[in-house]
Amino acid sequence: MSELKQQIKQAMVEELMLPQTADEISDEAPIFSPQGLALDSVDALQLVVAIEKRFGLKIANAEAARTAMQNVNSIAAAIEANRS
Amino acid sequence: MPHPPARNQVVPHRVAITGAGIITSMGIGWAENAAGFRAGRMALRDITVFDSSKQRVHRGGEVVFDKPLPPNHLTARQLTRLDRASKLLVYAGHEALQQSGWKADELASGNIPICLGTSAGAMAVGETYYQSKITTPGRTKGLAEKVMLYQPHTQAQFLMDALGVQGPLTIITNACASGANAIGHAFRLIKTGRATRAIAGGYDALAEMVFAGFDSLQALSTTTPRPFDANRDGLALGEGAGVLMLERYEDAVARGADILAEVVGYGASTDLHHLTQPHPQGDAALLSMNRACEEAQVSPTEIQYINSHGTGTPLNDVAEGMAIQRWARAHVSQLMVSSTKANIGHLLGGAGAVETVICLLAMRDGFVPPTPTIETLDSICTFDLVRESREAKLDCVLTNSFGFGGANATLILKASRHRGIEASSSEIAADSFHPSSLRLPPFITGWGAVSPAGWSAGALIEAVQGKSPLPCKTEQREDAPARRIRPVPQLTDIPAWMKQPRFRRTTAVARHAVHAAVEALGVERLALVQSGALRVGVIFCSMNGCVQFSRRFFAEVRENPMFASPILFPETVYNAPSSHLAALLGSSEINYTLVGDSAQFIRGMELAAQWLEDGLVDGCLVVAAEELDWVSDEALMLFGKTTVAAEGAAAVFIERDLGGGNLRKVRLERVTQAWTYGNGMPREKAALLIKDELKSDEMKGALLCDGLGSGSRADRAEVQAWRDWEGPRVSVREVVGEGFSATSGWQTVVACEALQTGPCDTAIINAVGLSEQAVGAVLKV
Repeated sequence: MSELKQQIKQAMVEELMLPQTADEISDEAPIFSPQGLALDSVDALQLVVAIEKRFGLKIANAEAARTAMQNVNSIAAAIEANRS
Repeated sequence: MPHPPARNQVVPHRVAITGAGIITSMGIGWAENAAGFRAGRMALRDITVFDSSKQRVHRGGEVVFDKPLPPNHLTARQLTRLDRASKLLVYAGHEALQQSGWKADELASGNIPICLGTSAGAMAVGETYYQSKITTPGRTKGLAEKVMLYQPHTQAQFLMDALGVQGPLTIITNACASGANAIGHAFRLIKTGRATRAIAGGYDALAEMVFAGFDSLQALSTTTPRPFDANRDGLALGEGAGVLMLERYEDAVARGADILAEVVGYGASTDLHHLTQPHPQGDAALLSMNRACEEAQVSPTEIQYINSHGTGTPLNDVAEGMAIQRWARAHVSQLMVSSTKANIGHLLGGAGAVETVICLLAMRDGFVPPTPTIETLDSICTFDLVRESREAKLDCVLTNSFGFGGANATLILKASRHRGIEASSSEIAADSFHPSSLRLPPFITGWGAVSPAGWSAGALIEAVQGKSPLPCKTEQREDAPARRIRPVPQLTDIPAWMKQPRFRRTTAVARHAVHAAVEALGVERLALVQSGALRVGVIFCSMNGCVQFSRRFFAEVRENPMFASPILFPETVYNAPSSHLAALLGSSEINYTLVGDSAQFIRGMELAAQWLEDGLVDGCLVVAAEELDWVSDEALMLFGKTTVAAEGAAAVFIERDLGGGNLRKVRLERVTQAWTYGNGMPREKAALLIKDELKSDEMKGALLCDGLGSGSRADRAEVQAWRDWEGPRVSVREVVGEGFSATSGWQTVVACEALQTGPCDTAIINAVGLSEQAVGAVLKV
């Protein structure tokens, strides 16, 4: 699981052009909150594409996206659930 | 407090539309479009111009060319090269010219401004060039042609050649507002007496990359586009063109022309909320509408119908609806509103112009075009959203265009009952285009540069003074020819502005632009602008735009459009850097992106001077920027084997003389007439005409900042024109390389610095562009 989380963080840094490194992103940091990564809706679309492309998880609708994309933990859980 | 408007001695002219051409998926020409829009006919069909099978959406407003190309002056060779976007322009342009009754022998005077708006130009041609470079990297045969055809000014030149028109060309690429901006720009040229007539319009053709971009942002409707429906799910893309012939009202009356309508107001503003999302309360949209009303001297109660931007995306329609409510107030329930994007799709750079022509159709034929697809009206519609065909006598209408990057534009049209019965003369007034006579020569009070020499004007000037060409880097991609380039050096200290969230996703071209602009403004003035104490306009110029992201995005589209990056696409739009500039300044003022070759920076300064003269702004940033990428570097090599591609930016801040004694300042004395190549105007002749326009006392003792050093055909024209020059000269290109639009900016920065340090008190900037036009400027201290 920790390896998956690291891969997710690395994907976020690369795909979203984040200024920080993967190690600087915590598992719990809220993705869209100004107190977290402060991502916006275009980032959200990019993240959906990246998660499908890199991890095979197709996020079908806005509700599923809201559930899965809260933080790195929730993304990892959604990917794991999709694999099992 | 904003400064008072510049005193303008010119009595404003009324501006008549005497010709209008239209081509959309609804049909070719007035009759088919009028009948279709009156009936509320839907004209969306399956896309055939590219393979959309891997995308989510497969329908759009594709034009059916079921009529032969109208009579034109294009050569057989040009006709074989005519791309889809150019064809759209030729159809619409021909119809507009026929209606206007302008005589063929009057069109080649060189004095008729051509103002066009586009968002993607001939993107489809660019796609074939890119594909060819990917599959056969070493191939060069036939590619120069593709590179030329891809440039938006080539389509404009096709239009000019087809109609037999010659004049200064301005291409505004303000995303989806481009067409409205182009008409507004032409309107102001005539209104203020800078031109007696003008051709204006907008166009865009369907292209795979743009289609995939909107799809990646999930902006395309997967059902039916339903603007202002509570359950709307996006827009359809379309294609088409609208072209207008504009002239002074008194001239139109005197020659007995049929006046279709008058343009009476134009408003432009910049939405700073987000690159791709409008302010939820419609603040900037409201500003744009208010400005147009103020100029037209009409109140919302006088407007009967709004052809809305109405894309059908969830965010746009609610923001526009809010703006309309706030603008119309108690009158809102009386106001008829519709969106014709439901019928033909969103025509992007063509939308503003085509929707203006749709307004003309409605005014002339007495109907309101309905939005036929609404099932459940959104609660935002406190106005009279017209859903079924309706007869109405329209006297005053408004059309909105709001684009990516927050580019907003509004036009107001008034019907004319003039049908040529008052004709007193069959002669049209002599054209008098006065670009060179700046009425109130403004001052350049700050300058900045990013170049291969470094991240400051000082680094550029030091390199140019050294006179030795900067070292080149050699790169080679697969089997392609090795190319020599001069990149901007790595930035060691990251400036504070670059750490703002907005700049995280920006491309190099935007960063170059902003860095040069910050230097040109200086810390104190930047703070002043950010505080709102100065109204500052932005003019951004570029030739290649955000080529790095464009190339990456298209590679992703070709691989699998479902995985194409939504994060890249918005930054590929030509006006993304100017949007970032406006955001940094906090300026909602007028903001144009001009696309073209190195003449654009000079044309941009001319436009800034006009905005100042007209009191639109207190100051104006003019910025040109470029970035390197193999796709454009290899394209450049097709035009000159020794040419070295360079990247960077130049910026100047232009303002009126406010009496500050110790400011660094250089007067922009004048800008010469711009000569667009083609139609009997070869580059050599254009270069000579610029030199001939300069007066001998201007040239005496002047420093010539020439454009030599590209190793291209532009060099030959300039060498020939200035072969007898014996005064001092400086050749920035020889040191720095070919920086496209940034080059004449660098020339200006070097000239400003040289005038500050002496001994010359005059500098001449010669900008003989590679492929579009030539223009010159005179600076003085």
